[in-house]
Parts: sequence; structure tokens; C-alpha cells
Amino acid sequence: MTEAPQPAGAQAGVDVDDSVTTLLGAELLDSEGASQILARGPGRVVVWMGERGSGTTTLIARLYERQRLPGEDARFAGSSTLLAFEALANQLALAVGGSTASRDHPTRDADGRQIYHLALSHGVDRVNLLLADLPGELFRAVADNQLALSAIPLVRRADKLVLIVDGARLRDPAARSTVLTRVRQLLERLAADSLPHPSTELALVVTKWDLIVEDPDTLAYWQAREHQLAADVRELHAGAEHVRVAAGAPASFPQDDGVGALRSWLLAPPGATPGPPVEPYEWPDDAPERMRKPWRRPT
Amino acid sequence: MRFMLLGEQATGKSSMLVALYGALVNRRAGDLRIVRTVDDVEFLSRGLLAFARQESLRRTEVDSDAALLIDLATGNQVVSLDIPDRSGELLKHMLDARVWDPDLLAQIGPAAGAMLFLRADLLAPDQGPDPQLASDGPGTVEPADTVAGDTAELGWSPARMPADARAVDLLQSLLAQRSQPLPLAIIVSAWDRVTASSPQPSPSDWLAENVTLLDQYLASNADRLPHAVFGVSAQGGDFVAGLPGDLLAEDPWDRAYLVGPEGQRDSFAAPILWLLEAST
Repeated sequence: MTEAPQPAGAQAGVDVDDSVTTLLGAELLDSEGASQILARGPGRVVVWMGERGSGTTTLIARLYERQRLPGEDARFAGSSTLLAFEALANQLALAVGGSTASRDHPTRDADGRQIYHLALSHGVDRVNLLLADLPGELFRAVADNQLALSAIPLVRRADKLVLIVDGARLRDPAARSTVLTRVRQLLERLAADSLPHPSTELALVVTKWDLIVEDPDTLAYWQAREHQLAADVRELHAGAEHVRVAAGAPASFPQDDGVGALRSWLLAPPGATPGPPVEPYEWPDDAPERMRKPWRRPT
Repeated sequence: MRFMLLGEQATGKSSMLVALYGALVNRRAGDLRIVRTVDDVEFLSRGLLAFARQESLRRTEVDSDAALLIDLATGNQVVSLDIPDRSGELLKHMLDARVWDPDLLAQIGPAAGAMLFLRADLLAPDQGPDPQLASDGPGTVEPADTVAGDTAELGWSPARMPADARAVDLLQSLLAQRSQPLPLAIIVSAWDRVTASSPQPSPSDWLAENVTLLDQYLASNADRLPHAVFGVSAQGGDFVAGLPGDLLAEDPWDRAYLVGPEGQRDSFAAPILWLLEAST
């Protein structure tokens, strides 16, 4: 059954001139708006736990943009934040195109709305994905134990928690170890706050996978650590998913971009069987021998 | 029975109305017959004259608010048909300003159905993910932070949305104002531009391939938006490029053609008949 989205003003809880009727707005949803959608049908609150610039916003945009490809097994069923998605897609296109105008905006939605809504249908099932794009600074503060995870209401009510590994930062030899540390810090905070709840799913998502694959040193570094990190995540949550995503990869990228697999996991009901563990990356047959060597610390 | 015409400017609403009227008057609408013409049809007569001269409808003819009010007989049943043709500029302004036009809003509740107009030659085949987002450079470029509340600051406005998103935006907003299902005939105008390609897709396949977001939205909401897709060439071809020789001697209502959802040729009454059936 289709929910009837409320006019923008009603969603935002603002006063609307009685003499005019507004259309759905460009605003993201706040918690109340998300609750209204969840009250009307099945949904998943998704919280991406990544630092600023780690690729979560691009992932959210790609989950929406993906629906413009024919033949997808999950169909676009509507969005109460359609204009926000379109604005975001436009903003990302400008950023990819090199415009700096769209990169320097200092704040999010001024009223604190941070949730995108994407309704997808798969067969007769219809699922409302509520994608919380929280500031990366929050999770840095959590990792540094300056803020308790339980103090973030959306984390407490999340159905899906996604731990982000920023592939771009793995390319920086000086920063790559910090990426691992941050994920493990967040794991520790989750455990300390008795999270995730039994009904909450956890995933380890490696973003910008194309950047990892194209750099032999980065790939070798990551290969040596990926499965241990994934095992650490599964120690906290046995059913944790593990996905590699190349949401911004060029069309020539030879591998699957992983967005479809991520979407399948997001749509899956709690308790669904996780996919098989991610296989180690195998070099193509024509890859130079030097790339196949195990990574060693530069001397 | 009132059917709404939904479409932005130059999407073929008025041309469809002219072609439909031409088919009805000249007995090219199958079993559908005019019993009584209720209102002034001067703008439709002018439109038929323009088509006879192989001229497209002029903007002044297209964007003035008009209506087709007629009583039609189909079998033993007589149906009063009221099809108001609102200005496409008005709809565009409404979507951009995010405020309902009061007259259009008032039509939503009582409407028995609607026709949504898309123009085939204005919907690029590759209207998928932004090509820059999909293919420029490796990796992901992450904007500093998400900003959705103040899109004007980014130089973005709803006017910049692609046609598929604008159509979904309109339908979502419409359903928010209406509790009953709304039968919807999707009219893909300038269909002669599509059939110039080979192989020729059916209108349903064309929508799925070229306007995927809208197609998925319609499929997901078929309970509230029962729909069928039609391809329409109200002119029968491109007047600027010149009509094929075998069409030059034809009357406008014989040049015009309509293609049903599965690709079969049909009369111009087909969308009306489908809407009548779907709304009862």
C-alpha cells in the first residue's frame, strides 16, 4: 500500500499559510518525519558510521541514482525527499566536475533534518529506507570517547548500522592505520553501549574500492588486514555483512560496483541470512608480477 | 466525467486534444461518437487548420487555458467528458514554486482519471545516472557535507530536475492530495521520433527503457495509479523536416496515429476508452 506523503510544511512541522497548499519540499526528514513514514509501512533506519568525506553521501546518492538503470530487481516506489536526492545528485555531479562551489558548504540542513527517504519495492514487498546522513564529526567524537553512541538517538533506533572504511584514506600511508583504528574504536563503543541491539544488523562497508584496486600498495596493505577486521566486526555481530563498494567508479571499472549488493542488504529484513564472506581479491591474469607480491613495509 | 491533462509546456497536451477532437468529429475514433459539443471549440478548429497546413500549434494556441467539453456515446452509454487543458507554464511554475495552483488542486478530487504527457524527443535515451557521477575519474568525490535545505545556494532548483523526476514529483504530490486511485494514461508525444529508430519499441518498453524512474514508480504504485502507456503522433510526422510523400495528401486525422501499450496501432479514442474502463 502506498503511503500518502504529507506536504512539506506538515512534514517539517512548520506553520503553513492556510491559503496555499504546498508540494513536497526539498527538505530532508527529521526523526518525527521518519517516524511518520515508519508508522505507515515497513522500513529500515540506516545509520552510516563514517568520518567526514568517507563516501557516505555519495553512497546515498548512488542508491537513488541506481534506480534510473533499467532492469533493477528493486523498483523505485517513491521518496518524500525526492528533491533533496536530486539536489544531492546535482551537487555531486558538480563536485566530480571540479566545481569547488559545492564542496565548501559549512553546514547541513539548518533545521537538523538529516534523513533521506527512499521507498523501494521488491515483488509485493515495499520497504522504506530511511538513510541518516549524520555529520562525520559525530563519529570522530564517538571514536575518541568524547560522546557516547547512545547519545545519538538515531543510532539507538537504527535497524542497520554501517561501519565505513574509507578507501581513499587507505591510500595515504600516513593515515591508513587510523582507518583501522577508527573502525575498531567504534566497535568498542558499540560493545560498551550494548549495541547493536539484537534486532539491529551490522555491516562493514569499504567505500571507494576502485581506488584501492588501482593502487598495488594500497591493495596489498588492505588485503593483509581486511579479513581480520571483518572477523572483528563479526565477533561483535555474527551476522555482519561485508561489502566493497565503488560508488563513484568510472564506467570502465571492470568489477561490480557493489551498490546492488549493499542495497540488497539494506532491504533484507532483520535476521536474514548474511551473504557469504567476501572473497580475497584476486589479481587478473595479466596483472604484472610485481603487483602480486605481498605488501611489505617501505624501507 | 472529468479527466485531467498533466504536462509541462510543449509536451503535446493541446496537440493531443486537437487530434482527438479531429478523430471524433471525423469518425476516426472507433465506436466513440460525439453526441453533443458543449462548449466553444474554436481553438480546436484552429488547431486542425494548423495541422492541415502542416504547421505546429502556435504557443498562443497551446498555452491559453482551454477545455474539451463534449458528450460522447460509446455503445449504449453516453458519457459527458470534460478535459480541461491547463497551461503547461502554470504546471511548471507550480512545481518550481512548490505551491499548488488552486484550480488544479480543485480538479484532483473529482477527477476520474488523468493523462500525463511526456515528449519522446525531449527525453534523452541516456537519461540515467548523471554521466559525470558515473564515469568521471576514479573513486568518489565527497562534497563537504550534505545540504538539502538551502538548495538555492548551490545554484540548484526544482527547475533543474530531469523530466523523470519532475513527473514523479508531480504524481507524488498529486497522490498526497487524493485518497482514491487515479487511473493514468501516459501519453508519449512525438512518437514518430521514436518509430524513426529501429527496432521500434512498444510504448511500455520505451518508458521502461528511457524513463526508468517513472516506470518503476508507476509499477510500484499500480494500486493507486493504474496506468497504460500510449505513443501519439498528433501531427503524423515532423512538419519542419517534411512529411513523407505518402502522407502529404492525407487529412490531418488520417496522418495522426496512436500506438497502444504493446505497440499496436489504435484509434485516438484508445486512451479515453481505457480511462473510462479503468475509472468505473
